[in-house]
Amino acid sequence: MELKDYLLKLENNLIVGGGRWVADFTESFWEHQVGGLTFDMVVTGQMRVRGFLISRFISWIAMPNYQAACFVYSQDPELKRLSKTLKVIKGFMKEGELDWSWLVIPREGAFSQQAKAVVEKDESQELGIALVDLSSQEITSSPSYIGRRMPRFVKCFK
Amino acid sequence: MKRVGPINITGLAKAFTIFFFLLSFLWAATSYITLGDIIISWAIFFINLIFSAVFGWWWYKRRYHTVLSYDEQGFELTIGRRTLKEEWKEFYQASLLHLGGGQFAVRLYKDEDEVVEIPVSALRLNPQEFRFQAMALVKGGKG
Repeated sequence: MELKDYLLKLENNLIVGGGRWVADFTESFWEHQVGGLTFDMVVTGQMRVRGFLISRFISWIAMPNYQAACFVYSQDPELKRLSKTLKVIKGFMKEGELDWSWLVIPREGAFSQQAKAVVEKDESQELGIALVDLSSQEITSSPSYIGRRMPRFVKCFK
Repeated sequence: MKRVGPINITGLAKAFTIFFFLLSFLWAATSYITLGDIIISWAIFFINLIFSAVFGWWWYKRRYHTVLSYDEQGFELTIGRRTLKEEWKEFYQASLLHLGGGQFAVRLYKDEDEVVEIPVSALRLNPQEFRFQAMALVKGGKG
């Protein structure tokens, strides 16, 4: 699967597909510049769904209005600049008052063991990271609660 | 200049329904006040349908009908009686916006607080494809 096809499917899945179970992702930016980095895609939303009458009311009383985003960055598959990328995302989260974010790093090929180890050891609680191998369709995610939920929603290869 | 302006079925259905219920209520009230009973017959039902279609179409054209004309320089967006004319170079970013219920718009960013939304689903355009087109036109407008 090519990167662009995957991004289109991921965008669709987040906005009108299974992603709606996690957050109401409403706006998607492609080739979006944040803090000197150009992300392939940034999808933003909030956890309180808009809905209509009853669903809106239930969402309003039951859900915290957390702001969320999903960043996709394919320029650094070896994760050599991961700390800079995370710093930029955390800066964006602070500025936009986001409560949690996902960082998806897709690649048309296998990730190195070193890159996988970095992700598997990441301790960020408000930021989940997932490495998506588009060739083998293998996903490696970070161990935080946010990270563990990612594979189900970023696995959109069909 | 490319022009897109299909019939917005949702808008038309909304306009028709509003007038159908309004006319039904008006007829029921009028007949009850003047004749002391609510008269219901197939003839009245069909007359109501015809009037609802006529007024619904008028209301739809006035309020919901969306037309987009665009080229490399800019675009003209008409929603009902409101018309907006802009140049792509005025914008610096385009995004895809989900309005809810599977309806999409392409949002164009002009300044910090000013945005223009093109309702792509109402225009029956492919939202993702039109977003790429808008991104290219915004970028091209800068050059």
